[in-house]
Amino acid sequence: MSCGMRHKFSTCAFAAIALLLAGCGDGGGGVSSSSTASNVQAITVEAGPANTTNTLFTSVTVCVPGGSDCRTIDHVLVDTGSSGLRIMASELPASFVLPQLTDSGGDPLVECTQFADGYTWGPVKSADVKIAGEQAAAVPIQMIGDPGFAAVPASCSSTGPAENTVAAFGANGVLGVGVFMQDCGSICAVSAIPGFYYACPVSGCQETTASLERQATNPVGLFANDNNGVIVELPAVPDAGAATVTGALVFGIGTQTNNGLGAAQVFKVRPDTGRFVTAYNNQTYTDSLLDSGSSAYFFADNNIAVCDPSDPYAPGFYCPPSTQDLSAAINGTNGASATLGFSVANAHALVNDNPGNVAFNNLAAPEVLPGGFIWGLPAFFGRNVYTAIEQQNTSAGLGPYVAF
Amino acid sequence: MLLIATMAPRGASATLGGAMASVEADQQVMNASQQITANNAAYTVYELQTAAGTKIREYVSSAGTVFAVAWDGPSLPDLRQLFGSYFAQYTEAAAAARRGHGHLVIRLPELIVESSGHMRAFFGRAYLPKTLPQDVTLSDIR
Repeated sequence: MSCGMRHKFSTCAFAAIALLLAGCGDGGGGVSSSSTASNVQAITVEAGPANTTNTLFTSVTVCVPGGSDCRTIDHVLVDTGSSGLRIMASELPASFVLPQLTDSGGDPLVECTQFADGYTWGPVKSADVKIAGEQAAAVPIQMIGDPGFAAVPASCSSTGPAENTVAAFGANGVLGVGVFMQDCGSICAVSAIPGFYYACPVSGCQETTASLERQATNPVGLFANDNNGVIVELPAVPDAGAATVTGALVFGIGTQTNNGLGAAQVFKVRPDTGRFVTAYNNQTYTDSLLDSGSSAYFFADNNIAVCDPSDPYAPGFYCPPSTQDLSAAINGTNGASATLGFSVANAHALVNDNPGNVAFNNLAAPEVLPGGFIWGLPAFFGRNVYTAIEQQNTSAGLGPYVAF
Repeated sequence: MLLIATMAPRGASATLGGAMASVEADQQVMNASQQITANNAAYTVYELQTAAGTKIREYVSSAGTVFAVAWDGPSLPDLRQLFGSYFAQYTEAAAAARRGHGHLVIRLPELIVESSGHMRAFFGRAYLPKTLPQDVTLSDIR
């Protein structure tokens, strides 16, 4: 999610305008032909609160369950690579109090959410979640950095650096709309694993189990309607990138006139990891993912030059002398296969030559996971990418799958 | 690659950069099972498996020093335990080098860390470039 590249020139003025625009409503408006539909939410790629590249944002409204006391949070990451809604406590007034969920023993349930680059820590609260015209009741969400649970257990902080502020996390929250219903799943329901869920009475926190219905949950799966998945619709961007890109997050697959699969090809994914296979350069990568929360294509290719690790714009990204036009094949577990072309530009030049642009379709970096090939946000430009939730029925059968 | 029997804990302290005995310390702290998965002239690999199912491989040189660790599985391992005295350097550098939550690369003169993945499927490795034994290539550490 988001990107470590910072911009050479100040984009404060731009960011301020973007924040003003985002603050004008709950994000229902005006980006696609189907934007008036109740299942369509505006999404934007822009610099955002932490001035990042290739970060996809939307707004999310949370309400006290069953009530009319609601708050809308802008600049929440849209992430098809994770599941569950997480909001920075700093973006909500202290007077806005959501009910605390408890573990089976009645103690407050607090979560340590692991990311490859750090962790978020905060209580699991219950909220009604409203996005566009959709609503989910009593969704377990994580309130990151809640001052009510300031002390982080050692077994959580031992997983990496803290990301409990907007600056550290890169957004005001994250809307995980991936293929899973819960963030952890059954393993956390049966085992008290260090670094996941904690029971936190006043005396201190201990690892605990969390039943599926208490875990941070993909709100889409709990919507009353259009609850079997999402479509991320983003227009193509020029090779030099764009300062702002607007698109649509459409809820449901084949549930309305505006969310049918049409000619899209379905690629089933592994039910345990959500991954599929990508074939590139005569190699097979078994941990492949379509991830709107990753800022670049991540794959290994020793023949492509890498930017200097100390490059001020794109440290460690790919920096070929000239743009490389490549292709790779996506293979679903259902035997479906499609070859996708993509470009890898010189990341240093891309950022240096295009100040103010933060949406790029040709940004790539080396993948360290031996079987990893991550189709990040660049792959979403110019496509409608479907993500079907596990065990939910769709016109193409049960999720989990991706389609485009 | 040799597959050898499970070893009994011996108890000790230290980790990345530490002595071989630190493998047992890691095993105890993380309540993990352990086996040797590779043993050659240059190094021995001790593989731990945590209760969450994450596998950790510790690379011990013939001189008895842990020069690399790698992990894969549904959860991140206890990096404070695995990195030992390098953990503080790691967290400080990581906070300054973010490139998105799915990936992290840290390159310090003494320490390289590469981390990737999402909840339910993580992978990473860390090594001390100045202590890599001869004949060890980076592709061996995985």
